[in-house]
Amino acid sequence: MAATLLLGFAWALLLPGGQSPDEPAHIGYAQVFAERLGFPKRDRDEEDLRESAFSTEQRLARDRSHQQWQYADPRVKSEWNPDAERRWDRKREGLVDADRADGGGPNSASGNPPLYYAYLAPAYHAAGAGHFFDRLFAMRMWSVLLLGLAVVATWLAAGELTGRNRLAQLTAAGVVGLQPMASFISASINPDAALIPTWALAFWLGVRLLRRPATRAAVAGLLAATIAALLVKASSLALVPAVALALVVAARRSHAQGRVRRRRLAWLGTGAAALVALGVIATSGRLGNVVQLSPAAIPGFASYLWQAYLPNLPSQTPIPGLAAFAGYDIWIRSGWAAFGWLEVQFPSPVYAVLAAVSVALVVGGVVAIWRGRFPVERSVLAFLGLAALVLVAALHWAEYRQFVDQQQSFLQGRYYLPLLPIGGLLTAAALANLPPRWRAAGAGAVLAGLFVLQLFSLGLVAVRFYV
Amino acid sequence: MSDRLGRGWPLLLAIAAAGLVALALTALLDRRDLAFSPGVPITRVAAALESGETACQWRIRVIEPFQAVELVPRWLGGPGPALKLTVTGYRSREQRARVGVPAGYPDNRALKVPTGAVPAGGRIDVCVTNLGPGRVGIEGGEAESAPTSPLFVDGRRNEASALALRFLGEPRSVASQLPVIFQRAALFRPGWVGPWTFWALTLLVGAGVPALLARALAAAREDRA
Repeated sequence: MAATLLLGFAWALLLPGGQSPDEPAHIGYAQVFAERLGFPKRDRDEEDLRESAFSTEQRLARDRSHQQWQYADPRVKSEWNPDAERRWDRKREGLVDADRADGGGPNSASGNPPLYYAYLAPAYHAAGAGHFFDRLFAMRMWSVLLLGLAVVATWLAAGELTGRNRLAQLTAAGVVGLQPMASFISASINPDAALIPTWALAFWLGVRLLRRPATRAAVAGLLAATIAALLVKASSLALVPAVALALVVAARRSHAQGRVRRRRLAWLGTGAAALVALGVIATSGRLGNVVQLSPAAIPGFASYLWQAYLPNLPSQTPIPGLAAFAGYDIWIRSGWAAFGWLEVQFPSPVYAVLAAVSVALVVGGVVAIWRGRFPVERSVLAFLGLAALVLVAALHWAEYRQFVDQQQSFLQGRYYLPLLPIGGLLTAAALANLPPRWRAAGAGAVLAGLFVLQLFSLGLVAVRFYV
Repeated sequence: MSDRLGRGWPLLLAIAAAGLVALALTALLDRRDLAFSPGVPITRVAAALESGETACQWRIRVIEPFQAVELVPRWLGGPGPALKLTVTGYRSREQRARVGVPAGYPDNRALKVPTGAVPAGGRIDVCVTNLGPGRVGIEGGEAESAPTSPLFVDGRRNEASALALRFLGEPRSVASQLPVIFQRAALFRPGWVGPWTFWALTLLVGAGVPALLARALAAAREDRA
């Protein structure tokens, strides 16, 4: 936990402001929410209007720190000139309070529900007496704590599954806390940072509900985590079927044991559905064309999926803009290590190694579960598997719709970071294939390997912006 | 030996130490020569020069000494013609460098033009002249990306564009540049952050994180036992 936070703070301070995907838009949202409890306007495709998403203060800081010219262009470094900072400092002293609060125009992040931005508001106000960068970096460091929460939730989930096997708990939690992309995103202003802990909490509470007698507190906790996830980002809708499954299994079991009557069950079900519906309504701004499901689209979707993961067949019409082996880029490149606006990447062989290690750990984990070396109940497997499957399918469906409508790709590995706790559990399971006396060494190798990857990732970012 | 490995934490510390050594070696062997850059992203041909015409990027602040200027020429309708590059003090009008570039350079590739040593401080004008025959383009981007440094093409202000120039110095290892890296990283940060913060973080991450992980691993194993 302390190691996770330490690395997170290093990421938060090393990375220049605005240099993670869409961070300026999220900062604009966070500022308008913190300053006047307001929301940005719906995004519009008009360049001139987009400037009004940012406050006068944010635009001054952006322009003087040369921020927007660095986006995704490794030739352009951060502002190295101390005089530029001094000039910005003099200029910003002339700003008034209203210059912080005049953003809120059309913003590409406007479709996101407000929970993550509300979470940032206390950090924003805690540094409120300072300047723009005081508040930006206070929010980033506050955001890092969310990864700490994900580490705790994964540790608890692994404990629930293994009867508190500390080595398995440490391994699973370590994967979540030391994965470089998770550290980078959690140390940025980005709602994906809050998805990792809310999903991790839902996984822990769901597993707990499935393994223990259901209590009101357990059901309420799972629903609260799910609603929190829904209030962070629309992609959390993918969590709903798995949570519903866990609730149904727990309810049936309680009913069979005579602990809950049918009528009470109906009330509980209605209440849970109403709460989840509220969350769905809160996320509806982002759904757009994603919910346009039609059987006629299935062949096209299947062809898209094939082309995303496998070489094109002669009979297939290539999808314009879809990179060859896009699945590799999504899961391995941008899932493990693609920093800045994704332009900061390792040489290709590094990703080949990461791919081999990832496949080995996932396969090893599945084998250990299959052979009973890491026992997991079927209901728990169904719960975690359904959450993963629906998220993967939903994001691919959303990307497919985007290709159909706009011939554009949008899927990135960070959107799958909510599944990282499952990756941690699979890694812990994979170590169960080792003889017991070697498992601690295996855990040590996993944790040290992730630490080394973190070191090189931070070095890569330092060279990108400062050398 | 196998019992020690079985405890996990010695292996963790050994791999972490190997990683730290590998990172240090990489930083020693990786030599970079960028002194500074006005930070213009390449998005277009910023100046298309007919034979005899000159593009001048004015008032570039020299924040580090340099020995060469890097630009990206584009062939326009034929192989790139010979060029002349001059570096002149903005206020003093003293010529600091005047270098000829023969024809035959590649299209759309970074071209390094040695200028001799130019010290840090003050502002300079960098001019590129097409010695002909034929046209040549110089890559650049939006003028707003270099707001204090206007571009003039054959004496006329180009309001839209700026040249993408980079100023190169003696190649130095990344490791030897750590102090300057931390100075740069401390700009546009909270008031309490300075280069010291990054030195402290380097120590805490490099030594503290492996120690914390090793302690957690040792505790996990004891708990299991």
